[in-house]
Amino acid sequence: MSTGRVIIERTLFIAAAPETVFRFLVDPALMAQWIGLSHKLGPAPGGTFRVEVSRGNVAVGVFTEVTPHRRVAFTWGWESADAALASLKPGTSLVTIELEAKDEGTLLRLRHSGLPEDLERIHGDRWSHYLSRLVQAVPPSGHLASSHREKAKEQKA
Amino acid sequence: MVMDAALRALADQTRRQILALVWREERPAGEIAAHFSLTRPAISQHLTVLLESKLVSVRQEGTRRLYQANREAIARLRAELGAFWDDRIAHLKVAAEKAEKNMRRRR
Repeated sequence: MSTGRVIIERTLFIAAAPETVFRFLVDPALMAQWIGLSHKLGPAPGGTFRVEVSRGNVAVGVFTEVTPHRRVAFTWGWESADAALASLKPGTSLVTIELEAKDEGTLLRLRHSGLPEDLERIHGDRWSHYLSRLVQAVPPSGHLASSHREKAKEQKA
Repeated sequence: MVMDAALRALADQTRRQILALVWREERPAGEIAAHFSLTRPAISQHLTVLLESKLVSVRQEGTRRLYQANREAIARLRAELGAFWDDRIAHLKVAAEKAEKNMRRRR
């Protein structure tokens, strides 16, 4: 197993123009269609990023970059009544979403970096907290988005 | 569910410290217990939780039981984190493509 930093990277083709996809990253009403129950977004560097991902668990950060139709980056941490989740403070990690026009659509690249570092060096805290709490914040079922989830799985299959 | 058990097991600091101890090499229970101010039975209880959650595995060598982190189980947890974003961007794809189709229809 790799012992490098924990970085999540995903690439996905979307059959829509970057201009369309971009609006889903900065407009609260549109963001609600893919992540979160409620949103406060100030899509400019230094602006608020605040998304209630699941009931009572709010992903909090600031936008660090907003380049229309190209790139959006925001820091990511948690506000929650759950002390362990709340220990992962805003600014702990960084989510970057890049959009590139391709074949009459958009190639989306998502990168979640700055996650706790070397797994070999865990001293019991940050890394495992991060994983367990992030996963717990998004219940696998019984959630608003569960029907969408199933659809997404069928499409992948 | 194994995943839930693993997450619950990780919620405890002592168990995370035990996991770190047996991450690189296997160790007997006595050696693990020596690192903590807790009683042997308490450590034994934590080891049981780690075993049941499959985060740690054990093998018998003579009279000793040797514990080691199960790295595959931990890799699966990491995969779960990736699945969080997989689901989210799958929703984004569906929503953006629908929006685009609606716009084209209106033109």
